[in-house]
Amino acid sequence: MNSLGQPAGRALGYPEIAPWTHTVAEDKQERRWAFLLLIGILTFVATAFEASLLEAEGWSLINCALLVLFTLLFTHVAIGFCQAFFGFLVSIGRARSAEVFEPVWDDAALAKSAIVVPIYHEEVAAVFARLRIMHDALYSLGASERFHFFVLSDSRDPLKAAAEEKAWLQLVAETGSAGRVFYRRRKLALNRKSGNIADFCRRWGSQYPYMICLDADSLMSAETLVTLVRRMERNHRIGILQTVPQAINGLTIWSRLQQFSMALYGPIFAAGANFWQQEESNFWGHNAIIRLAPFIQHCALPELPGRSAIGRRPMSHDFVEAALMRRAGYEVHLADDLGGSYEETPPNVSEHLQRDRRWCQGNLQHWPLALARGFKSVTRFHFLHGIFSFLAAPLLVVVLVLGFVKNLGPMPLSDGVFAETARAETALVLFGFTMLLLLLPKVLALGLALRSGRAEEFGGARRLLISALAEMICSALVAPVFLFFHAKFVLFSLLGKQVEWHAQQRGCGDGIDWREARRTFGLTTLLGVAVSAVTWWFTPGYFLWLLPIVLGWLVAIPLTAFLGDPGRGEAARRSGFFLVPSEVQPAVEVRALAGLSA
Amino acid sequence: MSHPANPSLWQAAQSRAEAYLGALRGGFGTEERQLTASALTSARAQRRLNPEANPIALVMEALCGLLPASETPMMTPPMQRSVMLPEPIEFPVHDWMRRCFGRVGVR
Repeated sequence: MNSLGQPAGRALGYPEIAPWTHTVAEDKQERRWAFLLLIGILTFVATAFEASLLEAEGWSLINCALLVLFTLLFTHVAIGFCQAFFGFLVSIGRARSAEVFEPVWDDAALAKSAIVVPIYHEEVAAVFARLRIMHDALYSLGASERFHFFVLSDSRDPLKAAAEEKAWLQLVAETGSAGRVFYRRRKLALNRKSGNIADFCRRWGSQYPYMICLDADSLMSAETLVTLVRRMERNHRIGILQTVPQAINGLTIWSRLQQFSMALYGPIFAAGANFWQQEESNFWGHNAIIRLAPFIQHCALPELPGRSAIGRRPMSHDFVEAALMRRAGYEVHLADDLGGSYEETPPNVSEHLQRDRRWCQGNLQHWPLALARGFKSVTRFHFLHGIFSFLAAPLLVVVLVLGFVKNLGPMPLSDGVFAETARAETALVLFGFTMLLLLLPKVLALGLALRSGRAEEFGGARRLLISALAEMICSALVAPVFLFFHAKFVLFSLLGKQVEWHAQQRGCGDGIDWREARRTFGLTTLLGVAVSAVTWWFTPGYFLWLLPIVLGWLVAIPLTAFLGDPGRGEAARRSGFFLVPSEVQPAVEVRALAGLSA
Repeated sequence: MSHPANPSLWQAAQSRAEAYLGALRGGFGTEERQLTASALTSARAQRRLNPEANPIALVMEALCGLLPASETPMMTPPMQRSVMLPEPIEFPVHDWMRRCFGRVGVR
């Protein structure tokens, strides 16, 4: 029997709900100091190596600029590594878990919660199929009366709206959920998704203590939905409780790579974030529960100051809402232990970059908030880290250009790189150290999966190893493409080029064909050819240093076409590569979604 | 916003009414066709009185008026409006920059 006095969904194979709540670790400050100390040590060591290389040439303006840029970029690398490292330690049990488990079983009725799904020109059948699955799962758990679904449409096309309305009526009629599943379409779609949610809050928010925010492609298990509400009930300090969604339904190689990475490497990064962030975690905009009263009172989005070329209304609203919730004194937690939370990823590199462009503009908008009064230091870190995750690309481009200019000079390092000189050895050690910090988190996650006997969840040890190796190679090849586009996005944002609001492509459609790949990545390839020719001609030694980047640009068209091909994705799945636990041992809701999709 | 006599809007309105009725009643037969026609006629009459109105909204309003109340599920619960306004945020660095350079405008 479940806590609502009705049979738990054992017939559907549901596990027990984890009965515990979040509390803040007593050694929170020590954890943060340890995190900062490790970042500092790693950055200091790398910077010392870099400084010794540059010192031999004298401290020219270029060299000073290079050292500053190197330090900034390396700090970014070190943060990622440290997060994964501490997450690894947490995962193997060497460090104390951030969570304290306490029983929450009681007979109290579950608080009534709203599940809101903002949509904008989405694939109607897929959206309502997910709602149907979540509704049925809650019904089987005896909790459907306690959750009200709100489909919040901003679709402007009347035919799309008609299809949405029809699908809503069908769902209501077939599940008998009148009065529990609602549909609302805004006449005036102000302020995009954040405006859509705010509109819900203003009209109906006061009737519910909690709001579970989903994306159009989100799916959550009934246990997770109930557990989120229970945890909020248990700890009234929590304002936002964010789950860690797992990617599902990857059909192309690219989306399968994404879901493989998220399943294999994601847990240690999430555990690492939780290790030091504790009650100052972040909100990712969906698959999270929000306490509505403080959200309505404190989290309305402000207009940003200045004459921002990309607009004064925050686009990446989630970071800002988490920051405002923290400013109001409420906690923001990451429920990294909780499964049953799913999303889908863009099917190809082109779609992924479209999403990155929106995120880039949204994150760059945050810099006034990072310096505004009243925010917590970890909140400022979230803002700055978000900004730097995109700003790193143009800075790296500047480093590459400065490196080229330097190599035209009288003391080119690169001519001797592969010769037996002390400076060349130092440069190679520094390169190796950087690569170690980039790759070690993946190796640690892989080792953890093998050690904890989870290899079968990824298709077996042999296939897991091959998949991980292929993922690392593909990531290395695609990274320069992202470097180029991220640098372009930052430049466009600074020039004030606005991002259009398009419906996001989910699923895989027809994939990405060669023509589209040529159109999207033609310039990237031309850049690769030009950079190769110029550096090979003027600084052949430097060309070898640039080869890992230039190679990615040169193969951008065939690579992205290959990665976006659903046929190859299916072939990989059939061969057992890039398998994830949600495919090998699918949860009931994932199985149901696959059944409805078929 | 003005809505000129755009045939596609009336077609969209008709298709929306048909879709709504089909889903509501689990099929689309003679009675539903007559209801749609009545809703369209009523909406056209309304639009002559109010040329600014959106045909889709008029048709759906007319259709809901023609259907018995017991037949239409509630699309949304009753509203209880709340105020959700941004709290003031101070941007001292921006203020300082505006004073120094006079270029970064702050409201």
